[in-house]
Amino acid sequence: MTWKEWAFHNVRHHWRELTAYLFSCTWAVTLCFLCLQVLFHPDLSSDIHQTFFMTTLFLLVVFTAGFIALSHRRFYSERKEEWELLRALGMGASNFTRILLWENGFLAGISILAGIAGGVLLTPLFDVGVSFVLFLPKTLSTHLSWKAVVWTAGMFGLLFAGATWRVRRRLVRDRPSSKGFFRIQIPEGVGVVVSLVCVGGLGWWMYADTWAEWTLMLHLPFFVLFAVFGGYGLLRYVGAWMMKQSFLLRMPSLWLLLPRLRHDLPQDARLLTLVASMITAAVGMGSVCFLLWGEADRLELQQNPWTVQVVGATGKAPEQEVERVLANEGLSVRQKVSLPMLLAKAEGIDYTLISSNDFNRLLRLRGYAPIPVRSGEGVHVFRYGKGAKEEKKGSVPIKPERWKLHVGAGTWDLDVVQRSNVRVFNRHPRTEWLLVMAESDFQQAWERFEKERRWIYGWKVSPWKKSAGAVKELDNRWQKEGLLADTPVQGRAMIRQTSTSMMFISLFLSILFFLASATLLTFRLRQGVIREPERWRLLGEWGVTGEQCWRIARWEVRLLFMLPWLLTGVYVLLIHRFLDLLVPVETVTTVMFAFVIQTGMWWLIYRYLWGKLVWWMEERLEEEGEMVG
Amino acid sequence: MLEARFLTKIYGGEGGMPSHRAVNGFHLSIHPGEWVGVMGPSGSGKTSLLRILGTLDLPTSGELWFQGRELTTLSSEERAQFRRRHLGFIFQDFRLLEALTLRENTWLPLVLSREDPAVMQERSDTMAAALGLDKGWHRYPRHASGGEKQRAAAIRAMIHRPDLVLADEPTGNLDSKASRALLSALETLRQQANSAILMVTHDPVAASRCDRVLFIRDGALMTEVRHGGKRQDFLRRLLTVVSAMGGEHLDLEGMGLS
Repeated sequence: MTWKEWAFHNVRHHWRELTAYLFSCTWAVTLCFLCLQVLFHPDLSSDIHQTFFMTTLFLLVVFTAGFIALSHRRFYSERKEEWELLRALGMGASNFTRILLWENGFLAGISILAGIAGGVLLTPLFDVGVSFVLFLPKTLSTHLSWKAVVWTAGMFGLLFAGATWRVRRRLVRDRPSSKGFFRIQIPEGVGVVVSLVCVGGLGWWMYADTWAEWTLMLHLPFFVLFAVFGGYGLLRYVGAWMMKQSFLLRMPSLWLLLPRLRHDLPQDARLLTLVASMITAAVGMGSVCFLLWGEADRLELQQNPWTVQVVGATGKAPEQEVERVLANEGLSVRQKVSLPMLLAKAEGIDYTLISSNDFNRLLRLRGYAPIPVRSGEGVHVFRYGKGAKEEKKGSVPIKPERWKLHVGAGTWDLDVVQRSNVRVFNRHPRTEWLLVMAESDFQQAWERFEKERRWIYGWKVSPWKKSAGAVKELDNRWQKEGLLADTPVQGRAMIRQTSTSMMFISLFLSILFFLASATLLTFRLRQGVIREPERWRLLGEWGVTGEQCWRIARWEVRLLFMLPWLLTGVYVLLIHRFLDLLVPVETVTTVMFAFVIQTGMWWLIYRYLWGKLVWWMEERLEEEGEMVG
Repeated sequence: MLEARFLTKIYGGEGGMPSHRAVNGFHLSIHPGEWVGVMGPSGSGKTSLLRILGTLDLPTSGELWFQGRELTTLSSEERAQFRRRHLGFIFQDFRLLEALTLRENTWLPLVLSREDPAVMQERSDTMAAALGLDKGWHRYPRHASGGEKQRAAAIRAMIHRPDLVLADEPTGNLDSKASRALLSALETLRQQANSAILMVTHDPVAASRCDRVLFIRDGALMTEVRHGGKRQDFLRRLLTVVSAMGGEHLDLEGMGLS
């Protein structure tokens, strides 16, 4: 028997555990290959598209690397009795390397070949999809790139080699490392405290007024780590307490289940956290995409209320020009504003001064209540996106602050008593920061600072979505002068384009995440089955019936599926909260919709794997019977 | 050939955990071709001793010499090479690789030594024929009986003609008929390969096959009984020691010794 034959025997013997794993790896290879095909496509050289597919590829490779490393580790650690025996028979580091390289060579070869073959078959379909979601003028021609083949094979070859190296290091190590979660054994009491602090922190973060979304993003990994870690500590503590309770002593199935969970869960913690993260990523991506797709128009109109906006004009010249172009395009003007403004500076930032009468007129047009401004006082209107929370609040009074404004060569003092981020103008550098003055003050300033006088014009036309041609013509004419602001038409197309691409890719990634989750749980369940007959025989000796054994097993599997699902539920709250702050539209329905779909899929995986588990178990029990016979 | 001096193994004791002295200043020497038995109550340190002698575990203190080499100073890789060349193992739970047939399992030590495949096949088939294993030879372990599996494990332990075979309760999972077959097989193989055997067992009948039996308690050698004479006399003396050590009431009549 050669090493190659031995490795082949091993792969063949473990094919059931490896099928799901190979399938996930193959799908990952296919996705990478498809992304690379697009990246190397001669007809698609736009930087935006290249960046988009590079980012997707990067995410894909990072995720796949983690998945392959964890699966390898799990697969090989489950064979520890085999390694122990081989070590006893005198198997050294070089021999371990040899057998691992052969085994992983087979796995890598199958995955890479099947993945690239799948990619080649899917390329025409993928090209059609890419052309559609990227709004390309014509469908991408099918182009098979050898560079993509070489890069895919090279990348996955390296990933498999890296995973093999990690496993080898563990196998040749003299003593196995601690089995504890993250190799630390934390007392149960500490786990409970950590868990409660994390749960409290979650509540505070979600409902405190002062937090910023980026703070959450930065802290989220640590939070998750501690919440999970503490959560398992809490579970163990509660388990230990429950074991002593008399009511539980009257329920033998549950009483037998608890110690088992206390023993297994800390070992499964990393696996379950990864599974929860993967299914959460699927929910999160789905939610963001559906939200952006559905709300693209509303988002754009909120940020750009005017179809065409001209800021900083020194005279009335643009007015007739814009209206002539709009008429030529067959667009009717529904609303129009023109108002005076003054240029000013404060602490290095360019401000636009407008009168309270004009500002209140704009507020009324948008359906907001007017803000009274007294002489000598001002309202600071800051740019949109600083915090959507304030956008919802509109305007808030603040402690008066004395501002010294530089207007031309002179200065002007103003007490800022209120802040607002209600959007009354389109996104434009000149209208990001406004200062609203009392009408009388503005009149005085207007008289005094003649050189700083400018005008703002805005038009709302109908139908606004068809104004792209007119906007483009005006844009070309005035681009150099910096007069024309952004319009909702372009932004809408951009949001749609981005979200469609993300939906397209997230669909593929979601499939990958689900396959990977199912693979990891399949490993876990199948390996559990190998130890079951021995355990059941023991339980049988104590008088536990076969039916009770099945009930215990069923609850174990249910919990294995429920814990990541519950964790995903917590994540979903965070996703909802995060989106709520990021996007000024209602997010709960979309997020819940994505979660419910996910729950359904999760339940299907549970049903499928439970069926498989029963089958494996019966097969194993039959084997046991044969052995005993 | 193998000499152990003042072997001590202490488990635990780190981070305030209680410590346990599994092997306590043990001395032992084994000569080529000798069959040595180790008996003692559960928890007396038999398996710990076996693991140290087999270089699977390192002692906390003491020396272990084999043909003039100190084994405790070897690196992990050197110890692996040592085991591959000089030792064979038989375990109570057989420990055969499920992916390989019984026949292929017996080749493992020779595969690791990169022996010629023709030699592997010839040697394993000859040994299997000598042990009457040719019937279930091509079965996978899950389809073989306990006796067949243990005989395959014995062949695996002996196929590379090691200097020393370490057997940890090899008859523990077998019925009396299969036990007898295995012990006869070990005897045959020992004569063929001139290997020494160190066998941990609870079974006085199995131990009566040995040249001498060491009795240990709390990790230390309590007494040693040598064969010298008839096997029945040897077995009677073993049973006397077992009884003195607090062994259960033994059915001498059942053993044909009354």
